[in-house]
Amino acid sequence: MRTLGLRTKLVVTFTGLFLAFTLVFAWYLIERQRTIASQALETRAKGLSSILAKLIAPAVDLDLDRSQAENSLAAIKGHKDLIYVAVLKADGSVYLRHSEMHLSSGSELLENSDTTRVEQRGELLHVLEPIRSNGKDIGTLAAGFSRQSIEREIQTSTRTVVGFSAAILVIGFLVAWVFSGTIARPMLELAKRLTRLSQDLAGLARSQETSSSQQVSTIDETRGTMEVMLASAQQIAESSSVVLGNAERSVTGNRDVAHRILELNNHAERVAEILAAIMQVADRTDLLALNAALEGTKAGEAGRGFTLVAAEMRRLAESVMESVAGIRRLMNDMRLASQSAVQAGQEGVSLSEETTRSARDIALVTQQQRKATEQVGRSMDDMAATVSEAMSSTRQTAATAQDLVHAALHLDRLVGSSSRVQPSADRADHAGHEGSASMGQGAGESRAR
Amino acid sequence: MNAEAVAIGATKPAVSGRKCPFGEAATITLMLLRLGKRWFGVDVQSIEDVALKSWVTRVPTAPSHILGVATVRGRLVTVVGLERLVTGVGTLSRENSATLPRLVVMRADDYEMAVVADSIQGMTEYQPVPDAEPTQADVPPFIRGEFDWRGRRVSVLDAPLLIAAAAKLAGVLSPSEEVEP
Repeated sequence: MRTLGLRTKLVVTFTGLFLAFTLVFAWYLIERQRTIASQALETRAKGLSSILAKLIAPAVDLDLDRSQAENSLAAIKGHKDLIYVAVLKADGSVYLRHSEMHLSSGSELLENSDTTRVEQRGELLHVLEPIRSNGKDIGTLAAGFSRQSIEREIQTSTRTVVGFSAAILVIGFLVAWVFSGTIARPMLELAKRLTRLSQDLAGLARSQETSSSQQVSTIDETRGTMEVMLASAQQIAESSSVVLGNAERSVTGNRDVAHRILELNNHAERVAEILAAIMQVADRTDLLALNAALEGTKAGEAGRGFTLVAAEMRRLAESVMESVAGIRRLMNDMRLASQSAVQAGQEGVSLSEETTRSARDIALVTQQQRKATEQVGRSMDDMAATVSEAMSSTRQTAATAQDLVHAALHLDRLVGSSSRVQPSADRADHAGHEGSASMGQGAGESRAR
Repeated sequence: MNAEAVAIGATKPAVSGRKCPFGEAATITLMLLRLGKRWFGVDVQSIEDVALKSWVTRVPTAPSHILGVATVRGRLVTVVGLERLVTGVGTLSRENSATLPRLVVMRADDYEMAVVADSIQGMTEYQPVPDAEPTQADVPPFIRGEFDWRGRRVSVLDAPLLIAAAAKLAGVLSPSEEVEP
């Protein structure tokens, strides 16, 4: 259905108002002119009839010749409105009769009247004027006046009024056109802009709805990840506690081992001292045996047995010294090994202490991480609540935007032409449907979540 | 030195050297001592004593082959650097020893002199070769022969000649003196 625009309506309304005003104005003027003209004709007719009655009164009273009486009427002959004049005597006989044109029978009003009487019959205005002489009615003057002159004047006035009204109507139409354009154009632009804005707002609401849904999904995933992280942090905390205990025990054990190795080293030093003493004794024994063998050899055959015993003693001493040397080598290797063990133990203690510190740090960091994860989880909950509120607000915004779209389209239809409004309406309906579908989906997802 | 060395000495090792000053086919007992990587044999009859190497005091203006003096059982004994006398260089290449260094005190008449030995292996019997010609011309006169012992070359020292050579080189003609404690 084709709908008129606001400007057309304004133009039609204003033009109608102007037309009504003009018609009323014209009708009033014409009727006023007609009334005035009729009154003027009646006044003129009365005055003229009265004059004629006074002029003809002597002739009627004296019953003069008709020619003389007609002379009395000569002054009014040729009057433009006078159609006929008749003089009736008191007995009703026609004393004088004059007509400017041929009148049909019955067209004249020939009656006696004791008062001035005006009567409209057909196209003529009939006037009955009593003729008095010395206060006595001696007859009646009947005169008929034509209304053509006033009709022409009325027609002239009517044309003038109609022309003037037409001019006013045209001017009013133009004014209404301009005025409606002044009013309708900004409103049309505003309606279009409002339509675009409402469509954009609906699109934004839809996008925001989608984003909110994605945010909710992301928050859910993040919450799940946070829960996994929390579980992992707890496991790490438990493992780090175990590692801390093991590291502390390892520190204690390494310190004990280092202490024992130091004790062993001290014992080894003591053994080395004893070995040195044994070595010295063995060396002296060797030296004594050597000298004994030397003396035995010098003694010749008598000292041969002594030489053998001394040689055996020397062999034993050398064996002891070789054994002591071997023990020294072993002790040296042991000392080197113990030094390496001490160094390794110290490194082990350092590593264990560092492991302990690291385990404590890990435990502390894990505890902080767990607190942070719990805080993040609470923040995720708050964020989810906020996003849910935002989704509700977005849905309300989308609904408002949809209402605004419909209102804008309605306004556009009211303001603009139907040929321009229809595509926008289609788009708006489409956007509104998409927005509704998206909002419905988002709401469904939100409810599902 | 031990019973094995004594047994080995009985086998009469192969000897090469100059004319034997100890007489015809006389068997002598040598004390085997090592100095660095060189082995020497000294007649036990010339050896007065074997002592632990104590502190050797350097003697100013002494020749290079005199290491100094040391006290051995209360006597002041000149310590000779045998390697310098034998080889003309200061030291011989070293070899590890199980015992501490020894001072071998030798006596010729009233003269005493000590040489430093890294170790003393023991004693062995030695059969000098009579009228044997020296194998090398640059061998010092106090080495009266050489023989093989267990794959090692042993130089036989003539203690009186060694003491005389050391004393002559040092210009010392007086015997060792007792040192009051």
